[in-house]
Amino acid sequence: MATKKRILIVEDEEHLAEGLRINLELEGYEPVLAASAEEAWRIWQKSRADLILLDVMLPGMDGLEFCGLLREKGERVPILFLTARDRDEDRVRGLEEGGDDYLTKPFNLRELLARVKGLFRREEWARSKPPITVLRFAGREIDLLAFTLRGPEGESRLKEKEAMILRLLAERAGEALDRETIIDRIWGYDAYPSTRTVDNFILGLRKLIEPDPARPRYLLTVHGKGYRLLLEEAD
Amino acid sequence: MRSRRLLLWLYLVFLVTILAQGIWWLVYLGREGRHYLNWQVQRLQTDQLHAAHLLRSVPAFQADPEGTLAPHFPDLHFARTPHGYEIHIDPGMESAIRVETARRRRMFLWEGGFFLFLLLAGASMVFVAYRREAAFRRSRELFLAGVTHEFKTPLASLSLYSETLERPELGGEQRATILAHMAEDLRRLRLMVEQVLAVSRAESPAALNPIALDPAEIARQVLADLAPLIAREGAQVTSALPAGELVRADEPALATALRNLVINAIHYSPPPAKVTLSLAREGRWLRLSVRDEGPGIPRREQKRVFQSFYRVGEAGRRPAGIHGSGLGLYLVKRNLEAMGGRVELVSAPGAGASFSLLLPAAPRREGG
Repeated sequence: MATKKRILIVEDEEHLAEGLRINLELEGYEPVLAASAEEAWRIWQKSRADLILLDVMLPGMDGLEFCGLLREKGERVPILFLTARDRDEDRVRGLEEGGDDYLTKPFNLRELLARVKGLFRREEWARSKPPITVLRFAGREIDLLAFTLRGPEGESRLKEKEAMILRLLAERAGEALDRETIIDRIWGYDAYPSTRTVDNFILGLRKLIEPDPARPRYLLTVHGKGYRLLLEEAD
Repeated sequence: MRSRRLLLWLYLVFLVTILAQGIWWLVYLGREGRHYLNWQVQRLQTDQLHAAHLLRSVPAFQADPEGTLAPHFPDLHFARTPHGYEIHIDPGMESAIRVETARRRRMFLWEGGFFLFLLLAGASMVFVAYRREAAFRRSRELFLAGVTHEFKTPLASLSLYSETLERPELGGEQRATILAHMAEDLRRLRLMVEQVLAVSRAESPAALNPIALDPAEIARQVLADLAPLIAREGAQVTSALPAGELVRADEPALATALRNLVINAIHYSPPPAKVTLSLAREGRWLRLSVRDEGPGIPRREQKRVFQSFYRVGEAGRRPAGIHGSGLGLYLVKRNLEAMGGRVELVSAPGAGASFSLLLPAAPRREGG
């Protein structure tokens, strides 16, 4: 029997935390409660979790800081923000700090459970060994396992999301993928306020892999559709 | 944000322009004063030359210049010498011109300075009003964000619980816990609605109706209203309220303030809470105090407790189970200020807290 997935619930509102605990338990997960980021950090250090449900407004260290702290330590656990704030800036900040998804209170239970499942599905995909581990682009080499880029300027690290986008495009090389598909696989549905975010990531990636980012040879725009990646033939 | 910065820039440009205008005005007037002096001196010298010419060329004038020429040149002085007449500029005239020039310069300086002062005063008044408006808008936004959060939290838990109750696999004990939590969330929502309404009343002082009230009577009513809470929490409330004192206050505003203080005193004390109400006259003021023997409030937090949505021990030390609205003490302060009174807090960690409502005393009741 597969071990239960551990979900750390960081929520200072006792009732909400209790409701989440009951539901996640009924879904077959193993929920753990923390009423503050400090407590969550202690729990995390003792025993990792497979996913974190994180409130933004917490007493003491807030959810965004805690998320930033985990990412700084190189922890890649999926994080789903739960918050009463629902302005676009708040969403963007949450996702920039390294959150994977964002749900505003009050939320729909079924949607929450679907997001949790979706995050686990994406996590499984991200953790599985990529069919192609090294991508080569005109003298640059990207390692999708180590998240590194080796090029004429030396070695640098890729952001996780950048590596994931490249991997998704590489797995379906030559095929045009639309922005919604990319958002869905990399962030989860509705997580980002706009598909412009994908465009920004693509611009960033072009600077990394294209010899001339203004005239891309590998990472191409397909008008009215999305993006596709051309790979050099393996030697 | 961008428009605010643009506005600030425009304002700075405006201020600099005004200052430059003012300074230019002063410089210009100073120059005008000098011109006036030179022009007057030149006018007198021209007159002098003119009169000398007339004296030389018209024989009729030479006989009696004082009778014929002098009336036409009031600023010149005709002096008889052995060689004939000499024409001088009246020495009194020169100093009169100097005095006049100085007077003009003084006048311009005062006028310029006065207008500059008016402009700068106006500009700074606009600036202060703008700053005040911005601060007000910011506090409104914070208040609204706080209210939204405080409403959304119990709503989120109610919505989660109501969906959870639909699950057939839920156990009986879990169901009972959920129902109890839902009842508590509803109580919390009702308290929030009441407090927000009370804030909107407190923020329009015109809605207040201060009359002479017996504070002891109000306190007794508040304690009677809170009897269920006092009984549930096992709190011991003692009161020393001398009869016969009157304050000028609005009844609902005073009752709300006092109720919030008593509720806080009970909630923030370890059970069983010991709360003391007292009333004392201090000159023109009446002091109505609520003292508890709870953990007290650290000095650095004493000012902030009166802000909306601030709670003591927010940084992880908030006693479990306290669900205030975050508006209680804010309301106390607003209500008291709206009635011309104030709130005082005396507290030290470990030594309890004493909140005092100070209100203007009304003349004592006859025979009271």
